[in-house]
Amino acid sequence: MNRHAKPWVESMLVAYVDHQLDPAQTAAVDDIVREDAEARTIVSVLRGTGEAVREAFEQPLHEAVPARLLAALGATGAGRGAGNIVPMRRPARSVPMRQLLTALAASIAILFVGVGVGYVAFAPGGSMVPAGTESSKFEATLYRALEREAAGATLRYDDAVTGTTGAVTVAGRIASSLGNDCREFQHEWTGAQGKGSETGLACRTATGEWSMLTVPRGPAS
Amino acid sequence: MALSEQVRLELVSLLPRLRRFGFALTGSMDDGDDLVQNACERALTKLDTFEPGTRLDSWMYRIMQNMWVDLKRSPQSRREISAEPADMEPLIVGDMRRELEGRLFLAAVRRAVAELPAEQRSVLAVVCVEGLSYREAAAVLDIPIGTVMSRLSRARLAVGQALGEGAAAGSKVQGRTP
Repeated sequence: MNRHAKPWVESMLVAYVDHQLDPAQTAAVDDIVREDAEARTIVSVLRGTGEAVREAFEQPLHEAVPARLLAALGATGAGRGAGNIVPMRRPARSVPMRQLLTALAASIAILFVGVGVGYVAFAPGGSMVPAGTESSKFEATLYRALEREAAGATLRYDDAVTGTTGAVTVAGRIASSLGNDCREFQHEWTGAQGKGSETGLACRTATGEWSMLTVPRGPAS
Repeated sequence: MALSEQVRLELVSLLPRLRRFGFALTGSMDDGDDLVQNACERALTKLDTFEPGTRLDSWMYRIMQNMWVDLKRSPQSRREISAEPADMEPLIVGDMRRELEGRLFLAAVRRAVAELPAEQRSVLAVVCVEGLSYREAAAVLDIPIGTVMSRLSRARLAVGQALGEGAAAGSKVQGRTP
């Protein structure tokens, strides 16, 4: 990026976003942000990523503390310590996820991708299958279903290696904010550890692979 | 109540936040919990070094941060960080798609954070995740405030850039051909 004689530096903008400047400094940056489109965009990215990072790691606040940690502090007794730590209820998000996503996506697109270029917002890691179904048969079946099957089609698999059988049902293509080529699917499986089911969303990446997220539903029983 | 007993109870109430901090530092709930457990054990052995009237959470963050830095230095510590969603709760069906998109996005954010240099990740964890002021963050991490600011801006712009680069990086279904 060609930068010369800017009246700001990124570290000042991040302090502005995080309300760490004194009133005079804040007023000065207010003026800069009003005048300078690039500063405005960077502020927006810094704000959006800050919120996103906070959201991304909030999970531990919403679940019970594992017993081993309570034990480490000698708080294992029933009704004592352990009973006092209850997961917080998931609060209403201060910024709705979609709004956060859209605002951040727009800023990122301007700053890093170039205006007008389509934006794909995710790069989650790898294949995500529930415990007990690390089955290459399942993955191959899912891939085939995503690639070739019409909405509603169900493909079954039988993986002798892991002792798992299952069925994958794909839904139609959907255009989502994460990409134009996404499909929902349902996976039901039976293995040594019981039965389970999950719902997933798979989106085709820029490189033609499928990137996906699955969310188990209902306990394996 | 003895002071140490009071601190211990306060530590118990801090556990959810310490777990969150551990999650953000390590990128994994399990590794984060290991860190919390070790830090709690260490904290109990050095309660006498805690100054009453100062922030217990910052003291714990500092212990965890230092243990994490030590751990990262040990050669066998390199482990792939998972960006999978830790959350397994059932979803409301009508909101499924939106929820999934949100989780895809947050998984991408975790991956982007995991790829940052450790010192940038630490700053993100104390400021963005735990909400410490820059001054408190500087004390916990033992670095100047200016360094907090520059690492923080670099880290957040890098996360933004990683999200912008989108789908390219190593995200594919394994075993994709039968």
